Amino acid sequence: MTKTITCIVCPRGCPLQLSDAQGQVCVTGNGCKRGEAYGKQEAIHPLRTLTTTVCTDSKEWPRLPVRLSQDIPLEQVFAYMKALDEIVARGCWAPGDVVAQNLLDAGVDVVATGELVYGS
Amino acid sequence: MKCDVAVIGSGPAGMAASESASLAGASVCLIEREERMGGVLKQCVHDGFGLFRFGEKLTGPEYAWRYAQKVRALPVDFMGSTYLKTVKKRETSFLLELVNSTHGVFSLEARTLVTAMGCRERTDRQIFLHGERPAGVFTAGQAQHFINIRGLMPGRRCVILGSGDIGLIMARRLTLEGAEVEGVYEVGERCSGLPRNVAQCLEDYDIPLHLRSTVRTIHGRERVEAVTVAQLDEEGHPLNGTERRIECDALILSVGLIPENDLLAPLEPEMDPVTRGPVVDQWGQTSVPGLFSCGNALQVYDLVDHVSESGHRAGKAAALLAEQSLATRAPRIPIHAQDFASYIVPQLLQCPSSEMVSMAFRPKTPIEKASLRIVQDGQDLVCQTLHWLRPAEMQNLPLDLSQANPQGPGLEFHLEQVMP
Repeated sequence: MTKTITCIVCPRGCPLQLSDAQGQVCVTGNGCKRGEAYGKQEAIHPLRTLTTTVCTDSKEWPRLPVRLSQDIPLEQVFAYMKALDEIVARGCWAPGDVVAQNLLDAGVDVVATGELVYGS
Repeated sequence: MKCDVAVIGSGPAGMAASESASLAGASVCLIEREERMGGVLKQCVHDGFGLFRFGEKLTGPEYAWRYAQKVRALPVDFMGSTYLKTVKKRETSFLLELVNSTHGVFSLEARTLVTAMGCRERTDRQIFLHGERPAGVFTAGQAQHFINIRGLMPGRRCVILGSGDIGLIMARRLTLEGAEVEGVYEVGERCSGLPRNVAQCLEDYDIPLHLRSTVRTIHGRERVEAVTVAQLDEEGHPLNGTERRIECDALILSVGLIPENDLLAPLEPEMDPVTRGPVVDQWGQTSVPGLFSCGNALQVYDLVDHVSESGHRAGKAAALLAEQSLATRAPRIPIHAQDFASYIVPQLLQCPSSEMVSMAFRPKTPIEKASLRIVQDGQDLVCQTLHWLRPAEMQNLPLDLSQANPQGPGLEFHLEQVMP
């Protein structure tokens, strides 16, 4: 059985063909190694990078952009969004700072991607 | 106030231009109407930026922050919350009239000027949408600003018109934040955004993409209550009997970007009617000596990495030119886009060109296999085969044009279809 998907690793967006060869996933159409890894993962269990914003205690800048420390299963995206809704980032932040730890007890941290400086 | 190089706009192009101008030894003033550096990147919280420039997938705010840190480490005079009122050209400098709350109205004299104002989104008025003008009609960038910067939802049930990348990104963003996106409607026969955004923004969340379809009418007086959509025939006329009313409270538009160059008008640089940016040479210098253009003000790019690159080139060249005098100027020959190339940037080649020239273009239609030739006076300077060209994807190729004859005729940039 062959399935065609679009690679999302880079802006090229190579069309990947995933086929099943004796229980092994075979990826063709990829322009680079990362595409092959993405295709294999996609066939087993799709993972996505989740980026969003969390609430802050600043009136001026009410949202802080964040990302999760690792890719999460696609079907759990909304569960993570709900958990992120509970977070309030207080004070100043720079990209790379850990805003919250161990979301959904899955070992996934919330990392700031933007800067928040009070009085700037 | 005086400086060597003034840079207008501190988005990715302006930050890169300031960095390279400062590193080249120039005194630099960076002028920004918002409080913070970063331009639109600050609200682009999704990732996928910087793969070429930094070798990793960054979000917009991360990409902006990295550049802002570089600029802050240099003696660049950053003026935030500062508006540019007018620009005048003097014999060997530019006179800028600025206004901010610290200095009031003040003037700045710069030897060279780098314009990096970015682009604007096309609005409902510019695409002739009929009906009332109720609240709830937003451009994709406005909706993005509301959600990601202000923490406000633009609507609960949304229809998206246009399939540009920001529209696709916003379809996902609205869905993640709990809104329902009924569908994305595109007038053309192809999606205008990147294929990977169709995959990760629409297909992941089962959001339908309707090609050859458009919004005909917006309903509602105070607030959007519904829109009527219709399918289009080959000529773009609505097909009878395909009209469908969709209840919704917001219409999000992602229908194209236009370089923002209003400020340049008094300087009268030669403009390119296709890109809607000024005509430039490979350093980004316009037809006005000492005036440079880069980033989305020059042409609408797909990737921020290329925006930064164009800023770097313009900033460095502006610094070097400020050091000499504006009178010294090498000969420039025109480059003409032909056949399947819808445009070419740069439109001018400054000779001699010993460094590789970064050339940006788009094909008019999708081409499976193409031959690219740059010809001067019947002689091929460049001959290459390219694969899988699409109008939605800008090509940005470093090409060797060192053999071009400065006294010769203009260069022809040929893009032809080859049978695969």
